[in-house]
Amino acid sequence: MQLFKAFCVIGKRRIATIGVYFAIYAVITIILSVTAKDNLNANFQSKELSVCVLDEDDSMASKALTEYIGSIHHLVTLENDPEVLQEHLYYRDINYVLTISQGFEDKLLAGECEGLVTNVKVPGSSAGYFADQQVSQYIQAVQLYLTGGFSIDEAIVKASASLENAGNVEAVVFEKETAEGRKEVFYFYQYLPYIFILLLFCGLAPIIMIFQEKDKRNRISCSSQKLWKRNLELAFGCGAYSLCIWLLFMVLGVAVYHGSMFTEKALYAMLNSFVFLLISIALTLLLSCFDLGVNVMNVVNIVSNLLGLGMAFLGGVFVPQNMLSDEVLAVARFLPTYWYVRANNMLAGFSTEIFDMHLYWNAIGIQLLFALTAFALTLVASKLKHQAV
Amino acid sequence: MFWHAFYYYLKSILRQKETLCWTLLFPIALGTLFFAAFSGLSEDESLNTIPVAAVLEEEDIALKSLLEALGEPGEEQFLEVTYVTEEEALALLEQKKIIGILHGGKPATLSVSAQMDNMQMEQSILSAIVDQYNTIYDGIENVAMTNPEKVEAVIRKLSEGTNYNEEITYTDGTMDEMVSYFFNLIAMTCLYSSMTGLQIAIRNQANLSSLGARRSLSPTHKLISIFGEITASCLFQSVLVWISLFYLNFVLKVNFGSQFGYMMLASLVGCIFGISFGFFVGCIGKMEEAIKLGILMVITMFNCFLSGLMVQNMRIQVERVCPWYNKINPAALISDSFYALSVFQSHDRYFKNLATLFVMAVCLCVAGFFIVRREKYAAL
Repeated sequence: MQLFKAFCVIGKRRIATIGVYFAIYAVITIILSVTAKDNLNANFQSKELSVCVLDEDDSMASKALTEYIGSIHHLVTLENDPEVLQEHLYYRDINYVLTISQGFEDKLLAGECEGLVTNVKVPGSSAGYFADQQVSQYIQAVQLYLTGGFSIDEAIVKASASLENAGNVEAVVFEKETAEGRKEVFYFYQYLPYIFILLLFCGLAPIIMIFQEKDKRNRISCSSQKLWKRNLELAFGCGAYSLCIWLLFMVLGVAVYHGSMFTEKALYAMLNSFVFLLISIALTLLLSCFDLGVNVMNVVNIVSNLLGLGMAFLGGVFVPQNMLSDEVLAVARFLPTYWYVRANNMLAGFSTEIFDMHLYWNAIGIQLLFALTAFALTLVASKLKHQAV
Repeated sequence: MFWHAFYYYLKSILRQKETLCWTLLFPIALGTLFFAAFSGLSEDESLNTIPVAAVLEEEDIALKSLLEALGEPGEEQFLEVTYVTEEEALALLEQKKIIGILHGGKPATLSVSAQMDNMQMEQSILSAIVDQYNTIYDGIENVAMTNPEKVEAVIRKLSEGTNYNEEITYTDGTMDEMVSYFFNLIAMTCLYSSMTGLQIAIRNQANLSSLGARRSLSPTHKLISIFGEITASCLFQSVLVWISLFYLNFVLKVNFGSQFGYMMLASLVGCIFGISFGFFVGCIGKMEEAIKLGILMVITMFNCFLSGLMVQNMRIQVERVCPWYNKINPAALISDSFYALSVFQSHDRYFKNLATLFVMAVCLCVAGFFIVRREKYAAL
């Protein structure tokens, strides 16, 4: 096991570099997953938007409207500066800006209701439409009672009471196990493909490339060991390294999410992540077969980000699959990340696909095929390189 | 000697064809992938027709009229209504083929699936429709009981279709948040030039490379040779980024706005910072090149992550938690410069970001030089 021992010695020398990569990407993984949505709620809750209300009228009617908006959405206080509001709107920190201009109550009483309030939102967005609907609904209710002969005080009280009692929504629970576990676990698994590709490319590929250097490769070839045995030892070294990385991330997951990592669906997600690890190992071995020039590490870093980010974005890791167009998804089906994310989405309930074991094992099988193909290509490339000497 | 160092370093980096190729290919390939992935993405924020089942009785005439109006086929179709029995509706809801079930009666009610919390916006819109229907019904009933002579006026007022809420905009610029991914891609490309800066530091230190050992014997002042090499790197990296910018803006037609000259300036300052940062990291300590490169890469990727490269609104979340970090994060400063150009008319914010970047770059360069100047070695 001389090659395996040599692999371990080189790996030990690079432990500081690998440790730095691991630490940062572990932090990134945790931040990504904890900023994701909370767990499933068996009671229906209307979507709560972040709304900024600028009340320039300061009348009873305007305060009542602000209070109503505050009761159904999250009110955000920001300064009345278009630049500040625009930035928060651009980055979707707020979804809607409502300006109640001066004279709101007077115009409402006079029946001059056209353009009573103004709004700024992302054009054509469903969140904007939703908020528009609710603002208009409230003003319409108040106007209805004013037209019906009630005073402004009575109209506000009756409109608020009507809207409070109007909500009759029942959330139907079809699966019993929805209360178990936290959904952040699946967000934790969601980002692992990108992390694995980067960690293996930047940590493992340089070690393997040392063995692929011309002089070293020629000296190793002089030994009596057969090619397949040498490759097996290297594969064993790669496997050990990768397994350590995977186990460390699983331990990290258990440390953060505790028992949620051991629910039935979370264990399926764990298996899914292990299968993707195999794909990452195969791609790393394939990359190491190519001659990347003098500045190997620079090129490895660039290629790892290119491949990692590209596959992640196309496969639906960072941008949900249900938001990608059909053409993109058609291309993405040729990427392993697509099948990984599809299986994870099914397990987590992120997509409209209901969980189906047949589909899950299909996704696992396709990923294993990707891994086998990449391994086969590696063997061919390695053989060709060996013959070219 | 400055021009000598400049010229020969430029020649040497132009001969590193793999680095040249990958540095150019990286933003172009990734930009193309982003463009392909994000095409049609902004449509997802837009309102699509909502599939819903209706379980109505014969007396639910008003609700049926409302649903027929909202479900009328055409461009403005809001709902896709299927009239079924309760059992059929529950089966459709379980299979996630509909967003909710509308039940007739007084008041009208809505059933949604607890397993479809990813469709919360559509569920909330349906809930708002039910709320509005119940509110108007309740209102007319109240008026009929207290002031029956006003009922006709109320109905006439409701049918006027008054637009209470007028939409305005703060900017003529793009509101497409997906463009920020491209801003961050350019920022990452600029920061990747730190690898070149690291090479400059390695080449000029005798204890880190044999070339550095030979160069330390030269009578040329280190500041002049290093400055020459840094200038050559800035020019080289900027040109590569400008080519990528040209490709994204004019070939893929990503909406960066119309101020291409200012974008080129922002990229140039970004590259200057990147090279200075790489140079500084290369000068500190006696660590191997691989470790220094690892440190550079993780800091760059971490900054790009916090700037919103992977999760689009990460920058605004950082702004909420520790706003000071966005003011010194180079990736955030570069992408914010592009954002300011595309959204605002005034260039105040843009120049403020560039000035911050430039000052940080100068400080890093000077610090790096002070570390390596007059270094003596007992043994190599």
